[in-house]
Amino acid sequence: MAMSSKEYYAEIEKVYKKPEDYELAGKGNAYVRVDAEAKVTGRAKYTDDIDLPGMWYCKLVRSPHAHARIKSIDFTEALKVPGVKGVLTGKDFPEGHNMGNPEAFKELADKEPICREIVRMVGDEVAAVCGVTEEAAEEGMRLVKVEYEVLPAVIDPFEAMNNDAPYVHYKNTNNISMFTTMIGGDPDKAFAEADYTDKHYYMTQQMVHAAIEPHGAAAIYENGEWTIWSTTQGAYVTRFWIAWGLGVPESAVRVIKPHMGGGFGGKLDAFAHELCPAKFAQQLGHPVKCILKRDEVFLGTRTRHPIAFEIETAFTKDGKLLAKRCRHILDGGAYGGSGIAANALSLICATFPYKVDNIDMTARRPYTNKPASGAMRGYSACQVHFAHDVHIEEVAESLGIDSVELRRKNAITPYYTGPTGLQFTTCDFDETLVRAAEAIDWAKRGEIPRGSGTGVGFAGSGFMSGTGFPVLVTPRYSSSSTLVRLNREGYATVFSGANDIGQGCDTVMVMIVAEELGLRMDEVKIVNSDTTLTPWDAGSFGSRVTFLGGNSCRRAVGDAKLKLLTHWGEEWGCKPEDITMKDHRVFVKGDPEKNISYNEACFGYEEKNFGRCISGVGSFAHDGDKDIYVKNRGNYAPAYSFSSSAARVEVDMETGQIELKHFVFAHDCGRPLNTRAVEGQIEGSVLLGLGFTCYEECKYDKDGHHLNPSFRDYRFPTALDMPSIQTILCGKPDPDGPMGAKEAGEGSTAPVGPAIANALTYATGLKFHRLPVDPETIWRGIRQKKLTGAIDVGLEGLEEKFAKMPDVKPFH
Amino acid sequence: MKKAIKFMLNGDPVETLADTNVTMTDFLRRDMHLTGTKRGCEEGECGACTILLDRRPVASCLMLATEAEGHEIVTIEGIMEDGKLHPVQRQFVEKWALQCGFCTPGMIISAVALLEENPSPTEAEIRDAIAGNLCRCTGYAKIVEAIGAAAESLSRKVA
Amino acid sequence: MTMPSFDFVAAKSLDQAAEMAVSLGGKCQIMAGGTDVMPLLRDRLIRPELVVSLREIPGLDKIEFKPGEGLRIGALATLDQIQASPAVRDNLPAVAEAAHYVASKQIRCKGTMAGNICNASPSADTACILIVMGAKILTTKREIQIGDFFKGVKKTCLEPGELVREIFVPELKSGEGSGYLKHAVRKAMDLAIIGVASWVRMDGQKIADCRMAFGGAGVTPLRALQAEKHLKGKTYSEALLEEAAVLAAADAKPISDVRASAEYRSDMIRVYAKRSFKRALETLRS
Repeated sequence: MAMSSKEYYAEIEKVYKKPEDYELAGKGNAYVRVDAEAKVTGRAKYTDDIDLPGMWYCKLVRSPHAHARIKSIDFTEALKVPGVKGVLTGKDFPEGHNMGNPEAFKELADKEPICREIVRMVGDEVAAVCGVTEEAAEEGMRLVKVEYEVLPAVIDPFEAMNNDAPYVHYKNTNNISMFTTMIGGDPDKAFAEADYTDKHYYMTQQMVHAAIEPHGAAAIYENGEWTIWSTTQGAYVTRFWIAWGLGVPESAVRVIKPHMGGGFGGKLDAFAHELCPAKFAQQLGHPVKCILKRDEVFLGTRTRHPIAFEIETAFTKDGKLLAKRCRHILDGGAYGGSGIAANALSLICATFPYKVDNIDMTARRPYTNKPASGAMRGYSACQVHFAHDVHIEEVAESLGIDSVELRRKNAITPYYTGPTGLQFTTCDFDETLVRAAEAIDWAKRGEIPRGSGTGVGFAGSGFMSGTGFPVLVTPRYSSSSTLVRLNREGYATVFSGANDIGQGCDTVMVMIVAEELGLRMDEVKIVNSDTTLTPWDAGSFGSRVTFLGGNSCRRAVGDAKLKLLTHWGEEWGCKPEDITMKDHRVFVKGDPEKNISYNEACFGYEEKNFGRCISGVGSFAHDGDKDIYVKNRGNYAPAYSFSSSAARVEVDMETGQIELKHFVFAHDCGRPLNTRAVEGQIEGSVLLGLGFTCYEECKYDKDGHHLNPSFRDYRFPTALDMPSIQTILCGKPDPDGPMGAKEAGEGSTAPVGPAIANALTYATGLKFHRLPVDPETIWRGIRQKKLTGAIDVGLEGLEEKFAKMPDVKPFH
Repeated sequence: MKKAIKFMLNGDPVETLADTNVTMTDFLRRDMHLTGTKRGCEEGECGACTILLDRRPVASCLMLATEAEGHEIVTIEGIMEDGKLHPVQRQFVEKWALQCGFCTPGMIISAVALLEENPSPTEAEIRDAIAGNLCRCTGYAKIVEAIGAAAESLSRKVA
Repeated sequence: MTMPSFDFVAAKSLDQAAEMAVSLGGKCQIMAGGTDVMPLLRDRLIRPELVVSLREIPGLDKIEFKPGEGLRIGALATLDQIQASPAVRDNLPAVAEAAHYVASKQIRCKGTMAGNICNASPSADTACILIVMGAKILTTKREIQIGDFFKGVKKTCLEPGELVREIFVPELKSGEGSGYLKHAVRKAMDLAIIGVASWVRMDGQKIADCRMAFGGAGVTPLRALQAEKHLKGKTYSEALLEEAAVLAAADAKPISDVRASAEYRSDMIRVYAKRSFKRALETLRS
């Protein structure tokens, strides 16, 4: 086998700082975010804050129909508006250059920059208008007359798969954009031999990322080259798709990511609001900006896949999970984009954090005429762990086994290999289970009567710490690269491709460099997320940034450090690893003769090397099988995080009103690089999970019109709705993580929903199969139970829908 | 259409022409080049555009620029004191009470207004005061902590 | 946010504003706090040529309580001022609480109670408490009983050019109490699914008089007349209140929408009728 990247970089690891010498990593208040001051003073510049001389504005004309053929577009009145300077239609972009997400699946790219003939959802882009002011552009946009031939739309994902359903993209495909199968072991035998089998149905809803910053972009075109500032989670990937959409070489496009007001997966794909201002900038010779309004973000960007689940499990009577069969139906909405990974992820997530050796799982992703589903924080994991962990709770009850014990019995252990080839490494899942149970006083749950309105719920989950997937085709699956330059004037500069979207990775990179070089953090300058200035990075998704970007950064600074220390080792007659860098000094411990300042050290190196400064290059990749995404077998990530969570709720049994009183989150994230940062990720995850479980849902009428595209009607928790949150950091430093760290951004979202749902189940004596569980849902359930004794809530027709699905051959 | 307006902005008098149909948010961002006030929803639901109008927090997206005539406006750019971070700002930095930072200016304005009105708020009062400022990143925990710490540091300063 | 072009005037007096409103008719939009008007402008649901602000009119933001009479709330008093006013909190706590229920601090610091009722949303948080308190709306032309004020969704009995000057709320006398409770999914920043207000005058254990009103379950806030009738003159008991609450729900004419179904709203009227009545009992004046 070829050399692994770990072997390649092994020499560098010798000069890495030893954990016992860490001054920054692993602590809470040892340092603050590098962007904090800019953000608290309002000086941090976000995309909408970019204001260039002569800047014009772009507005998009959007379809009012969920499915229609564009018959004609009349710009006459729009062009009469004073200040309107130009218009665009789909024909202004090269035909066939559709937007997608993974380059390797370019043939699946299905989104035209602007629709040429067919609109597939309400909000689909039909035209663009450029005006000298935002007002002129908007007046013009409102006066564009589009004539449509309305086509039958399909809104329900099960109906979409019917043989006679209207087709969203392609005829005779049952609207299925992806069909994924994962089989392992001998599930039939396991089911036949099981003491206990169980089959249940669940359903999750469509939710949105709701980053407070709306999507947008600003573009200039000078000297045959575009510069585009965009709200992107991955500057390089966005650059690839913009260049493709414009039909120009990647070298002609520079993408810069300014400060980002949150992403959560919603800003991964390339959009019309990036391509249109770019096109206008070229045509009209002015900088052009396009910032979406809140309703446009709801209609025209991305959502979380709603998933319908059929889950069947086989257990021994003492609670060992033998086998799992499941079918996942993911509502894909109108387009693919980052959404095409959802199927595989949903199945992978179903294989852990509980050991299961025999599996038979399929996932279908039908298109519907609704906003496109895509990646969202805890991608597929939130939905899957809701269904699969609520299921565990139900099984525990049926088997008469305490559900935490059932989880512990089946919990993944270190270095276990899953049925689809996931290679787990460090794992302290059991510790998270035990400590979360202790913190919520799980042992005393039995003292609370079931159905009393008070409930405690529990859930466990795991997540990939750094998905290996680099989106674009890269050498040896290179995922993240970093350059570090040491400056003899007493500082270092890190050129990081990692995309800080708010999670704080700029701070992580600066901290790693400062720690390794013994500099203060303000002596490390960061240049970030600019395709001209910074090296390749795939973007912020899949909980990959700290693990992959952090490792890449450490290798880069290690590379530079090795050069510097090798030089001084030769000068001083010692080994590079005998030299310490600390407090701005380079020295051999206990030897006052061998002790110089950082500046002197760099100066001396350059003196001997004909003025060449010291720079380091680092890259990190998941050493996985490239074909995993086609074969759906293999290892997905270089490490995995594990978590357990527990919720205490109170339900008003008369109104169904829910109060989340307390939340406990135990997370195995290796060594946290900063405890406050990890707590912040977890606390934010609880908000997302509470919204997912109890509040948030995009609603549609039968024609596919969005009924609540605003923060007034699409509600996520306010400060008053959030509980007290206790974070428990578990686990040991991961040998492969940067300074021992594993992920904390996405895995932390996954067990929140099922913990709350399980608590609500206990509190009400009902069983919830569908999210969100809002007060009216509970009220309805309580009433139903009184009238008929039935306790299942939200099952309506699900079993029948699964039974009636047409047979379709798997593909992709 | 434009109207002449005269008002105080971050402690300085401003005399200028404002479009009659422009919101205070857009006027501050576009005409005054103060981009710390953010556009999140533009319908008063998210709080990212919160400013002080006569020392009271208001959603600047639901205010016309012309309404500023004769009044005092303070934006996030006017919160620092003598070139130093305001205690609320300082605690937001120290307590990691921000992530993406997009809600932060509005959140800080709400917090400053709260502490002027109520120097020693309870946790419930803090949460109530920022209930109109949506944050999707933090779960509010560290924000509430930072505001509490700022209240303490301010009361120490007075004492 | 872009808005269509319009002119703007800050009126010097209510009479001046009224004159402009009369002479321009539909081309003129009156605005106090503006928190309800601004989204309408943005969405082009209204396209006035002139927006007239009342905010600079002197003397209209008074909040005064006169013992023996009641509370006078000027048309420009903000919801935040009302909620924070010791005069309101001490004498009519339910009015302060209703004001606090509206949206968020940022909205309450600019929005007014007069605006809240003139906007005439069926679920307006301050409407129900004003109804059960028997408030009077003083306009530039007349005095209107609050019960006659609301005429439909976003419709009031105000004539063109007629502007609210003041809201008068009679004081709570000895043995009287009132309460307003709102049911919403979130604890802040949420429109009411329903809200119910109650006012009661007790004579020992006997309910000497009472009024009950609910919002969010009809085109206007409505009185629960059957429930009131059922309660009046009877000795208070939980059972009696439950019966009355069922009658209140029967009076409701809710619709199903994106926030809640009609049947859920009806039942919540029942629940909150009880709770708001109990709240009124808890706050009886000695």
